[in-house]
Amino acid sequence: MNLTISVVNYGFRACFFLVLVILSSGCQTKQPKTYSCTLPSGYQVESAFAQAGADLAHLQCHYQFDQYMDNLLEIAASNPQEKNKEYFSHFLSDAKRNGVISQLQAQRYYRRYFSPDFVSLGAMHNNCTTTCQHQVDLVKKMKLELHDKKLGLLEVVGDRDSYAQADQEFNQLLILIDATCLACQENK
Amino acid sequence: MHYMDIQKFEFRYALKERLEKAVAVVCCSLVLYCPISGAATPRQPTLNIFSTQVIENIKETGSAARSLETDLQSVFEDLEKHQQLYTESKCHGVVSDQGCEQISRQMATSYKAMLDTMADRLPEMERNIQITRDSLKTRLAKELGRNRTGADLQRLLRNDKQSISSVQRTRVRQQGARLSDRFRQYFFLVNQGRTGSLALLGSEMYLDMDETLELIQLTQQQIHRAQLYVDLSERMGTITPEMEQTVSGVKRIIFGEYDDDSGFVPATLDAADKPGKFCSEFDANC
Repeated sequence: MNLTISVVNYGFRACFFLVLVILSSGCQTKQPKTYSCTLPSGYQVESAFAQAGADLAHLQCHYQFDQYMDNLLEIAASNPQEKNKEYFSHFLSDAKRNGVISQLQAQRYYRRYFSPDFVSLGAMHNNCTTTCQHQVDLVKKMKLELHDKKLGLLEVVGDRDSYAQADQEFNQLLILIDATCLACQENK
Repeated sequence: MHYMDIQKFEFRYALKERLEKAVAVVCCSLVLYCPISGAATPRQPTLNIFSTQVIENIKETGSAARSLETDLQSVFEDLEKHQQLYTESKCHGVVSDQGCEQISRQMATSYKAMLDTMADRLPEMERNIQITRDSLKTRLAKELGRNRTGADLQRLLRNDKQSISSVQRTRVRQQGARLSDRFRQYFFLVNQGRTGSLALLGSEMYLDMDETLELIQLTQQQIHRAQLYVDLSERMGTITPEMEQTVSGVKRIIFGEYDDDSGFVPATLDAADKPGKFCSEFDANC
């Protein structure tokens, strides 16, 4: 009798131990596979955009968005054409859809490079209180933006007229801002 | 139901109907008479930089400048004539020559006449320009400073569809333009009245007048010093370099004349003209 009881006890303990082993092995978390984010290179514009779009669908590549953008600009500049604007538009649209950037950010990126509009100019508050308080910084930002527009409009798209418009408006805006801020200052 | 109750009910129902009709009529008339665009979308305030007063001030400043130019023209001609005579007579360094002394005295008289004319007329010119500038300043601060954002400034330029050609016309601030001509051109451009151009024109005009005022103030100081020098000096000789500077300063403000010592810088040669430059089959310019 005692032998039977001890065998049964032993059996229960063994089963219990086996169940524990099975459960613990089943609960081990599996490490996900790491996606390799490779910045596009070469001179093939279409494949560069396809690769960048595929990469940015993965969360791991999101933080490299700016580098992807820079590389694509460089590759597109080696083949200036109107269609490059379309490629960038789709690229930014996909990036927005994948949650890499917001709608506003996508707009700013596009307009910064491919539109004569200066995104550095504020649209929320009046000039006396905002523009003129940071006039020197604003002019520096606008100069940098003009440089980006030269890259986008002139070198990537080959649109001389739009770049000429941006350049002319830049100079006109400097006069407007100068006069406005001087008037604001003297009118206090 | 009691007869009186039925009557009360009918009366109340009729009154309610009439009230509803009256409210509907009032609402419809409000809808018809309210400006639709004002209610529907937010609107940019109309740009109003050049009021009647500002335009009048521009006209008056131009007239004052023209009058000053006319008065000074003869004085400058006399001064230049005497200076030329002095140079041609080789009077420089000559001590006891009656002819040279007479020329020197005439030069001094012309110079003093110029200083006196400027000392009398410049304050009035300064006042005219200051009034125009201050009225423009108030307008710019309000219209472009407080009523608009940075992005609005670019929209203002875009709204004027011919902004590129209009900017070329508004480049009045340039060397060699007489003060009266500049104001005449400003007056003409203001009357053409395109919104984007008006913002740019107003800004250019304001900056131009600010700069001119500064120049006038500096020249006035120079004239006061020169008058003192002329009063204190016992003998007037040739036009000294300081006097020449004063004369140049006045000419610059009123007649837009500059002493161009920069010399002509020839344009760089075309790359294709440079000897030994490599010419590739892919280069369209070769």
